[in-house]
Amino acid sequence: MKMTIFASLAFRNLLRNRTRTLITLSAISFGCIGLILVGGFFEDTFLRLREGQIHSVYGHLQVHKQGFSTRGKTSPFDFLLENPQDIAAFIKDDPNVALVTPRIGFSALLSTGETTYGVFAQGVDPKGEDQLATLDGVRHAEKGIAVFEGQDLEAENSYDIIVGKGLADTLNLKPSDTVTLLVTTVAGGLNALDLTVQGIFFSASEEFDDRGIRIPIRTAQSLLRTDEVQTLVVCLRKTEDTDRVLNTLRDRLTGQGFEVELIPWYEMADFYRRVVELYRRQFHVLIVIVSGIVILSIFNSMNMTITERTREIGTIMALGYRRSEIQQLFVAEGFFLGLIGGLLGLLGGILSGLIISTVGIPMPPPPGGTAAWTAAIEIKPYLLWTALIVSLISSIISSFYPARKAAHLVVAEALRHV
Amino acid sequence: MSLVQVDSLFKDYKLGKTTVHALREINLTIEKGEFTAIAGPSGSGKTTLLNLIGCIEVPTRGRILIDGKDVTTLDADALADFRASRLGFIFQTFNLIPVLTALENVEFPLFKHAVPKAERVNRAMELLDTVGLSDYAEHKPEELSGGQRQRVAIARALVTRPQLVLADEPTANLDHDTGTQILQLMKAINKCSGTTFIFSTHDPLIIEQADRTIRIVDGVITAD
Repeated sequence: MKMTIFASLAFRNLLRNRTRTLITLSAISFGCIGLILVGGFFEDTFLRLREGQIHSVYGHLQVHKQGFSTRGKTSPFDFLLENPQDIAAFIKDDPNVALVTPRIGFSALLSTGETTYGVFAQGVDPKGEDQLATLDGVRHAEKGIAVFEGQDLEAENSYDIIVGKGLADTLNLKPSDTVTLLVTTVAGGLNALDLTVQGIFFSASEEFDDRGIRIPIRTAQSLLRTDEVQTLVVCLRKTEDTDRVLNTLRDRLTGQGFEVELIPWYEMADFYRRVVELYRRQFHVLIVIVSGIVILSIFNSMNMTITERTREIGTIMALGYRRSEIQQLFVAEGFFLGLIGGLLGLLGGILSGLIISTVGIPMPPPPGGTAAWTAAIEIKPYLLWTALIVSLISSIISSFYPARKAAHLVVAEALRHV
Repeated sequence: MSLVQVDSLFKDYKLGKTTVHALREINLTIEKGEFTAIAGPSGSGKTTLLNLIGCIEVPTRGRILIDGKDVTTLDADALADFRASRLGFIFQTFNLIPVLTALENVEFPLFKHAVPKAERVNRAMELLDTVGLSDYAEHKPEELSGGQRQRVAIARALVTRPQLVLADEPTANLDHDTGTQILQLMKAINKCSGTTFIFSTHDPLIIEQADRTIRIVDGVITAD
């Protein structure tokens, strides 16, 4: 009951000092909006990088023969999947799986006649890769890997090749140039093939763009003299389902006696993990800065309030209210400032986030990427909670000292105050 | 037993490096139901004496007993509780809470006592009626005249049914007629309910209305 009148008193006093309250509320809301927008921008970057890498290089899951992840680097051809169709058919049964596409990865030498360069080659199914590359739910972006000059691979067994942007720049390659790809076959012999550059691509991974090439999987298999594939790339309908599908598939595949290992995208996406870690840390610094701003603005406003209302405080104390009750009264004012400012900030953050996302922010190529892009604001619920909690806690902290000062006024002196 | 008993009370203030002796060796008793004026020029120490009896200042030396209780030994919280239950205050500048209505201002001290809402409103309305302001219950202080504000303050001082009401220059900010009316109202309440009033003033016309006048000059009682 006492709290009702205190809350009402606090609230009405805020309304009474409209200009000051508005200024303080603006400071709090701007802090909140800043948190939400910067956090949302980071989240958008994470989303873009994650989905870009999943939909170009990694897929959501990769299926290899047991042992590939530990020993596959040195002898990749010892770990080929013998029955990829059976495994693929089995995985496709899962309703969460959108696509299973085969790949075979190998090192090769790419020769233009003048220069020979070591490359990382992938034999891929053009149709499957095209489907995998399609991004869903990322603003201002359609493809995880995009051919920006020439054409993508089309036929499964053509003698076409697409090369990464960095590699094309290094070797000065253009569409319709002819190159020779030299490989060691599965059996250990040498083999070479003349190929026509069909297109130049960029992906979310600079590393892949600098050294990567792709050829149709049948062509790769005939070049390497094998019928097997190395990897089945699994694309899910939703990235959030990765762990769930990973666990079910792992159990089911082992249960069926397939000697395979499943690797989720996040175990492969080392760069993504480091980016997230770095940005999260920056976000924490931002939280500290915003809290500082909120604390200082409320502190200032409360101090002014208390100086102005000294006689009122003296009166309330003379009427028999204890120091602790005076303190509650002013902490309540700070709390309301934080609550209202925080809520306004959420509203402002969501609205400006939507507007910015619709317009898009033109961005230069990100670290680890080759192409300019358009950023948006990805507002996650945790950002809203964080912003609100930051403003509430900061407001309570910052009103605590002024409130204490008010509570420790000497009644008779406070009454004499003019 | 006297309602108020003051024994050899001293109050000093530090003013820079000098010490001001605001009150020196004050002894007095006030009985229940008295209507007493403390009179003296400004700076004579009357407000200090009122503040000390009102438990909003602590004496340098001496003892104050209110209804037999030695209030000089109480800590800040105990003093606050004591004021809340036993004392009422009326101030020279009215000191209503500007954001609350007249009714809420009168109710305000009762929130401390967890009085049920219906009773709280009833008591406050009754008192507003007593001071002739039942039509102004929903008015904010800034919408009231000085005299009306002081009436609200009187209602507020009485709402907890205190034994003693202390009024520091209650008429100093009012014109003479209004001041006289306020004092007559206080006196009527004193006669009707038996509430003890002590008020300070330097206005000779107001002093005339008191049952008893304690004169104080330079911190010393010169006449009683």
